[in-house]
Amino acid sequence: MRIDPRSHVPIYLQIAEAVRSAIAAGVYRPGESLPSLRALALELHVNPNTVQRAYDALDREGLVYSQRGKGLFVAKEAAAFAQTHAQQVVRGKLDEAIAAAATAGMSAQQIQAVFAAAVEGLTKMEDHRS
Amino acid sequence: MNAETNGQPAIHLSGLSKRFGRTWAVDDLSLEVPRGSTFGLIGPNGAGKTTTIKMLMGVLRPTAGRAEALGLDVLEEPVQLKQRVGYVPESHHIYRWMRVEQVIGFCRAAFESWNDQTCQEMLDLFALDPRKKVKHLSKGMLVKLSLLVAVSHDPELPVLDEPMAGLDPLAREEFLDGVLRTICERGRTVLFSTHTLDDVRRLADTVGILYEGRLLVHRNIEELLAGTKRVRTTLRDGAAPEHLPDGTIWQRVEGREWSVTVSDFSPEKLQALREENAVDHVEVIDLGLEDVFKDFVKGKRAGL
Amino acid sequence: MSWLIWKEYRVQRLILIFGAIVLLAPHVTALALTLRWPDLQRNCFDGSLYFSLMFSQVVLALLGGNAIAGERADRSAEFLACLPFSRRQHLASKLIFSPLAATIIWVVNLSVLCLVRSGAPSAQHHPETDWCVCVAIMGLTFFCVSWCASCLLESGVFSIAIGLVTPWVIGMGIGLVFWWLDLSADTLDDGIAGSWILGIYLVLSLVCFLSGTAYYLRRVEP
Repeated sequence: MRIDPRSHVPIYLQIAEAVRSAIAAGVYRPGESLPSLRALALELHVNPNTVQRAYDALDREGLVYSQRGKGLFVAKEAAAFAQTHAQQVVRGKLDEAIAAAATAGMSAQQIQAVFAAAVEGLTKMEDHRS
Repeated sequence: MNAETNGQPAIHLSGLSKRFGRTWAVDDLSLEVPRGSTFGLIGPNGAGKTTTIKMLMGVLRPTAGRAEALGLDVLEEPVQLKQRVGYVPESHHIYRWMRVEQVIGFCRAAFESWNDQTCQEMLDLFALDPRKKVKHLSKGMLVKLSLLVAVSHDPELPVLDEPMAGLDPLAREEFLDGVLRTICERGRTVLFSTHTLDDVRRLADTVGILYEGRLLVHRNIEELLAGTKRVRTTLRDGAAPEHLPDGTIWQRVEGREWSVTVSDFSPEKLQALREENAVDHVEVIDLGLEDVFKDFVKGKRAGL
Repeated sequence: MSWLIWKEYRVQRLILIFGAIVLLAPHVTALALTLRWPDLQRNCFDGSLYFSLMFSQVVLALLGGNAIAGERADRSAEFLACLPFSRRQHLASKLIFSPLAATIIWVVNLSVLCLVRSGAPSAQHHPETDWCVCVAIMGLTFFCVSWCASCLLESGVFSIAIGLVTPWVIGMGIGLVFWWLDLSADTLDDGIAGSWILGIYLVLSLVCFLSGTAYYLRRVEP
């Protein structure tokens, strides 16, 4: 797990995303404990308050739950999460792209047209491969 | 001890100023750092970071204003303050003839709250040879020794003045480890000044940008980055920027491209910019800490 | 506190060793010469007393001048400033060695003086007493002026130089006053003028020592 201090994305979100990816990849299975605040802070070289914020975000999502005095554990629901995670990442990237397009002054139809063209391009590429 | 200082900020500077000859190195600086937070002080060379920290530590007399740390006036109770603060100065002048173990013994005698366990942990972490003389230590090891001395008495307030200047990347990482361990201790407030913005981003909750002795910005880092955006636009032929958005900190016109960095950015400000200026293509760019810092400083230099 | 004293000893060690050599070498030499030529005893020890006492006063200037300014010169004072020692503690550790050195210097030399003079008939007025008082006051002035300079300045060497030169400059000034007032050397022998001059040096020493110390205690910078 690494975080990028140069990115504009808040560090706690980077950490949360890194942990989400790790859970989706099966690095941490349901019922297993996540690294302690101090351990993760030292590993990533970040302020432990930031790790706390990331863990709080994951707790709110329901991906993890905390046990008093024992730390954070991966929730059982996380099993189903793996499948939806990839979709959520893509959705996030699409949201960013749409926001950028809107700021540039594109209308909804223009955005849809561009999107359709992109999907068509992908389909063509897949056909070409097979 | 804690009862007196509960609720009080860890650091309280009011109207702090320092003049050298005719230049004001620090000009009417007021700042509060709450307990338990980590504060990163950044600024170009000569901005007054070291001067400010020296006044905070009571090793430089201010021309005006007051400095308080942990509820104590810095000039009136210097000895008590130094018992509770861990200071790593910008340049290290530990007696060169002392061995590491003698330095530790000397400091152990000075600090009432010296913690041998912390000291041993740091010694192991930094792999310092106790028998080595200070004059035979490399720069990196000397800096680490300074940090060891500063935090081994479990200070409530470590203050680090550009501690990682001149260290190679590995030594920097090891030093960072040492600093992090002290940040992880509950209730500790940390103030550090640095040029390395990556470290500020990683370690600090709050950032202060100092320029020519004045505090330009004092915000939570993530709030600052979320709220500061650069807008890149294309001006229509023959047009010039007419109305700068509220909170503009920097702008530049290059050919047809007009870039403006705005703090406390909002969609309304974007709309206003579109309406009040002859612009076509508009793009909003998120900025990292380095860009925000540079834009603030460049903007001030340009007189904005 | 003991660590502070140890530190101070280590910082001043070279000067203390130099002082020990300057104190004892003349007497050792005189002893060696006396053993070889016993009838030269009085001359030898006159000479060794002279050298030992005179140069030892210079050592006092070295100790005084190096005390505070020396640590500013190599900036170790900045390291000390990070530690929770009070100015008074620093002062106390620094003011141990100079009186101790002065005591040892006088004990050794007075012992030698007594031993050497023990055979001679006791005169009513020992000219040596006057001379010893003058040397003692000169040593005190050297120390106090260089101590004051050390409190104010950032160079140990310069402080020592000021401490050594100032008494001479003042002495020359007094001499000029004598010449201007057309006073002759007879007045000096009278003893009263001599007391005045010694008094001036005593006052100078006291003023320098107190003002330097007061400034050091009030100063914020290391």
